[in-house]
Amino acid sequence: MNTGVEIAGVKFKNPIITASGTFGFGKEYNELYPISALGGICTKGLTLKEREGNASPRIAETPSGILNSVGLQNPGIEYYLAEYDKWLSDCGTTVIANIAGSKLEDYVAIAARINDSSADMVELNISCPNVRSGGIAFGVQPESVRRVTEAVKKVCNKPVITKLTPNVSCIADNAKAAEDGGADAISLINTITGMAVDYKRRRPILANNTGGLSGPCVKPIALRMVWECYNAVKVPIIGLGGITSYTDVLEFMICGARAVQVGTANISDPYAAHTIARDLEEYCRSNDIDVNTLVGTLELN
Amino acid sequence: MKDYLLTVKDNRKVADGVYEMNLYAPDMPELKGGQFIHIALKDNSRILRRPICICDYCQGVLTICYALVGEGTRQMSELKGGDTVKAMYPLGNGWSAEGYKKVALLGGGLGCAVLPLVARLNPECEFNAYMGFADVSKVVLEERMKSLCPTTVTTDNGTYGRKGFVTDALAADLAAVKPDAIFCCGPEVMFKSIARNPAFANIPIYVSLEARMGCGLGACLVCTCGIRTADGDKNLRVCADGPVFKLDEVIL
Repeated sequence: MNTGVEIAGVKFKNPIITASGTFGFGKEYNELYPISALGGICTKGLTLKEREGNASPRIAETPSGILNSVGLQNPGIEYYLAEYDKWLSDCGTTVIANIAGSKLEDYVAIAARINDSSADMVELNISCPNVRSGGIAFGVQPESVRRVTEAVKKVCNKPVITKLTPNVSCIADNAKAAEDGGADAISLINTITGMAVDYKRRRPILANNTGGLSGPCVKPIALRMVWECYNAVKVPIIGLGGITSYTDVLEFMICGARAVQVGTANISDPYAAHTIARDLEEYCRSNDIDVNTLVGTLELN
Repeated sequence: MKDYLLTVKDNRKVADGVYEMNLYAPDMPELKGGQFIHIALKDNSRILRRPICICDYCQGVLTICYALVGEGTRQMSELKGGDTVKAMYPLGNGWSAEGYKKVALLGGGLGCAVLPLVARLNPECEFNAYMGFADVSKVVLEERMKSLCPTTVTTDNGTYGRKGFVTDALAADLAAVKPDAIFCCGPEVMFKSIARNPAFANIPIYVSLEARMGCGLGACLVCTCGIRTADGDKNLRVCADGPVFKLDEVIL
C-alpha cells in the first residue's frame, strides 16, 4: 500500500492538503492535532500588502454549503515571511503558498518575493470571486490565465499551481491555458459565485452581496470539472470542492486528481482533514492499494 | 479547547422564543466568562456549528440559553435529555474581573446569557447585575442571576420589573453602584447608547460581541469586526481575538 503522491517533483506523504482560506497558516489547527499528519497545507491567500478584507457579515449558511466573502484579508507577504514561514517549514508537512494580486505586476512581484520563502510550491489564486479588482478577473478568460501563469513562471523558482475558477463556460479551456502558460499543476475548483437573501429585509445576507459557494453541495460540479480537465491536460490536477470523507477523496482521484484539498470541511469539523487522511490510509492498508493507481481510472457508462 | 461529545441533561423553553439547555460536561479546561461553545447540529445539511455563549457552569453542568432564530436553533430546541451533542469548547478570549473590585453586569435581551458565568467565576469581585428585556414574556435567568449577585430587571414597556431601558436604569443607579468596570452584552444599539451616555464616560466598559461565524478557531476570518488598535483600524476575529473587546475600541 502507498498513500504518498508527487506533484511536479514535490512529495506529499498523503494526498490530503488543506485548502487556502480555511486553515489560516495552520497554527490554530495544530493545537488540535499535529498538522504533520497531513499531506500538505495551502496557506491563506497572500498579497504584497496587508489587506483588511470585506465588511461583515462575510458568511452565510446555505443547504449543504456556505457562501463566504472574506475578500483576501491577510497580513501581507512580509509578515508571512517573518512570522509564519519558519514555523511552517518546521511543522513537518508540505507547504503551498497561495498568492494573489490586483494586477499582473502584483502577481509577478509577489511570485518573486515568495522565492525567499521555504514554501515547497506556489498556488496562483486567479479565481477569488470576492475582490473587486484582480482575483477572478485574471481567471475567467483563457488568454488571461495563460498570461498571468506565464508571467509568474518567469520569475518564480518554485513549482506553480494555477487555481481555476468554475465560473467559466469551459473549464477545460482554462486548464489548457494554464498548461500553455507553463503551470506545473492546476487545482480546481475555487468557489462558485452565489448569493443568499434575507427575505424579511429584502437584502443579501453578505455585506458584499455575493460570495463564493463551497461545501458538499458543490462536489458534483467539482468532480465533473476535474474529469473534464483530466481529459484536457497532462499536468497533474489537485481536486477540491466539498470533500468531507476519504470516499470523496477516492472519487476525486478516480476522476483524475493526483491529490485533493479539503476546505469547508475544516470549518464544519475542525478535525476533518486529519480524520480523512487517517481513514484514507486505513482504506489503502486494508485493501493494499497504492493511491496513485486510482488516478483517472474512471470508466464512463 | 477540544471537541467533546456531551449528553443533554435537559432542554426546555424558559421564555417566549428562548430555550435553556443543560449539558453534562464533566471535562472542563480552564474557563473564563464570555467564552463560548461551538455546537454541531445533527442535520448534516447545516454544516456550520452554532456559536453560543456559555451561560453558566456549575457542578459539571454547562448551561446555554439560546433564542430560536432559525432552523438550526429550532433543531437544537428538539434535543431531549439523554441525547448527545458534539461541541467544541471553551472558545474565545473571555474576560476575567481581575483588577476590578466592583463590576456592573449589563445585559440586553439574550445578551444577559453571558452574565451568570462572569459572576460565577470571579467570586472575589462584587457584582451588580442589570438585565433588560423588551417585555415580560422575554424575561430569563432572573433566579440564576439573583443567586449570584444583586440583580435588577427592567422591561422596556414596564410589564415586569423597572420600566424603561436597562442602560438608563444603571445610569440612574450609578452613584449607588459605583462600578469600577462594566461588562456588557446586548444588541449593537445598546452599545451605541452606552458609548454616547456621558454617565459612563470614565468607566472601562467591556462588551461581548457576536457575529456570523465559521470555524470558531480564528482560521477562516469570516467573523471579523472593526477594532481600533495601536496599528490603526483592523478587522479582528470575534471568535479568537474576541468575543470580548473594550467598547471604546469597537468601531460601531
